[in-house]
Amino acid sequence: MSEVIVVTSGKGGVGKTTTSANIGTGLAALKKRVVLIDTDIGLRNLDVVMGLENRIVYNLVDVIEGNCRYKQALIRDRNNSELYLMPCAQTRDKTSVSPEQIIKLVEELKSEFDYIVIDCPAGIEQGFKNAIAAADRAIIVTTPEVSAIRDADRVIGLLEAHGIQKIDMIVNKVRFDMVRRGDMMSVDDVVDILAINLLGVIPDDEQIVIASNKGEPLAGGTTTSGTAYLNICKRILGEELPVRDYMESVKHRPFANLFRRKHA
Amino acid sequence: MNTICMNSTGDYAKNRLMNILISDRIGCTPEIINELKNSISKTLNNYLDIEPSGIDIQINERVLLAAVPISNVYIKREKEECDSNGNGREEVQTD
Repeated sequence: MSEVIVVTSGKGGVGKTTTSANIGTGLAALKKRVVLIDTDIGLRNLDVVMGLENRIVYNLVDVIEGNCRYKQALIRDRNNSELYLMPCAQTRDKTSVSPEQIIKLVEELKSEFDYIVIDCPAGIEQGFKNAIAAADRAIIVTTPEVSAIRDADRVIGLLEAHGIQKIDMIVNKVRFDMVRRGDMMSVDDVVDILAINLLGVIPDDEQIVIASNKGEPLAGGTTTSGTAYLNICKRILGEELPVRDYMESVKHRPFANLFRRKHA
Repeated sequence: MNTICMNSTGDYAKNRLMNILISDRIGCTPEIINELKNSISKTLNNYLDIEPSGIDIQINERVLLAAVPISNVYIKREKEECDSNGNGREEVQTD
């Protein structure tokens, strides 16, 4: 039985595409058949992060408009024969596709893949509606910043309204040195505020930039982030793994002396 | 909303964020929430000795939860303790 996962955030630049690429790579490394679908029509990037930009012949819009069969649009990953990418069109816009068409396509793909990972565009408009239409579960990517968490909260509300019950979260780009100094919200703070299940924590790691320079996602590799991504994938498969001990930080308690007696 | 001084920007961010989310969720501005908070504390003050700066209001989609610290509970207890120690200076009220 296959599962459809949408990777979303609301805000742009928090790492949806990198997360999608790494989840796809990690799940494939765990011997699952995976297809990544880029739904960011007009601003595609997943092909670049995966290092597959030179192999695109057909795209998502071609498939939906019937210019080709879906198998013609799928690109096999360079390092993993079980991982495929369905790229999207760069010269069209989000209105070229409807949620119903995505649902129909995903239904076809289900016969062939264990996991269908959908990379959602930023925003909550048409592109978002297309991306979540067929999803069984969602992964929210956020960073410990006010704007990203605010958007994540809004998106969680929209996903719930759409009937998606399984919503997990990845806190990305955490700088533990800043958390320790008290200059960044901690992962606990984020979990407190959004009150959804924490799937994993990814540090703000230069290896991720290097990996995307090379077009090779690092999930499953020997780096800290590579291991963190692989553990996220194992949790997606249902394994009970404790979230990496990210709380080396000191917890600040500014409210501790707030409840002093008034007339004492 | 809290007027306490934040000693780290991370805590300041969390506090701002919580205020923003409350207003986002119920669709009204932080000023209106502040007014709501003031009215709640004013009304409660008619009946209880409360700590207005300690009021914590949280709003989900459907539920408003207000945690209101009550001050006179502690005072009563303190008076009782003083009395039992035999050095209470104030008279303890009797029914």
